[in-house]
Amino acid sequence: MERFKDKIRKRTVLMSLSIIAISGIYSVLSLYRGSMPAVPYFIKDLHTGAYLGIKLVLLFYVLKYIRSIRREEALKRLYIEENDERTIMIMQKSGASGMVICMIGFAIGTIVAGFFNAIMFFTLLSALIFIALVRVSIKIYYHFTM
Amino acid sequence: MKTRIAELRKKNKLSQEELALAVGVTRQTITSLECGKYTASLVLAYKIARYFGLTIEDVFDFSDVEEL
Repeated sequence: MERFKDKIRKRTVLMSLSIIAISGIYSVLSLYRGSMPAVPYFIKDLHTGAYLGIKLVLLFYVLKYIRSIRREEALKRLYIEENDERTIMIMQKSGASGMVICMIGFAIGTIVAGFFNAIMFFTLLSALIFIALVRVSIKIYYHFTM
Repeated sequence: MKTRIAELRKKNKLSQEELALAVGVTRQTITSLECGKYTASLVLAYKIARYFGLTIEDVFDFSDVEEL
């Protein structure tokens, strides 16, 4: 359990640093926003929303990890939550089938887009090729490591 | 896969949560094992059997497993 505690400690430090870095980047970008190309308001609002959302999620996990480091019972529960074999299997299966569904969706989208717009067709085709390459690379990696 | 987990748990007056904590899984995993929706890994099967002081074959029913 000590090894897991160290892992959580490192994760807490990394997440805290990420919060500081994200806040810094967002503040600098907000300061120089006036000198940047004008963008529609909804994009600015989306940036603010994403910034706040990511920060809140990171903060939630930092607080959860701090509580787990301090209390042995909470640490054990977190360990079980993260290492439960059924949860891991669900994640693996949903990831694998999700990727296949995405590829089928992209393939149908690419074919349909080909009838209307060349740019859309090539964009979707590139995304499809990228996903297929990622899938094949991951498959090859696991074939050699397992 | 059918198991005797629910029967053994009740015999030992254990809740799903207590057994789950003892073998290092979530309560939902124990529920799925008892319902036969999920098949335990070899390590988990060993941990559960050892917890009840039995062998894996005593806890898990392998009669449905197809042999080639």
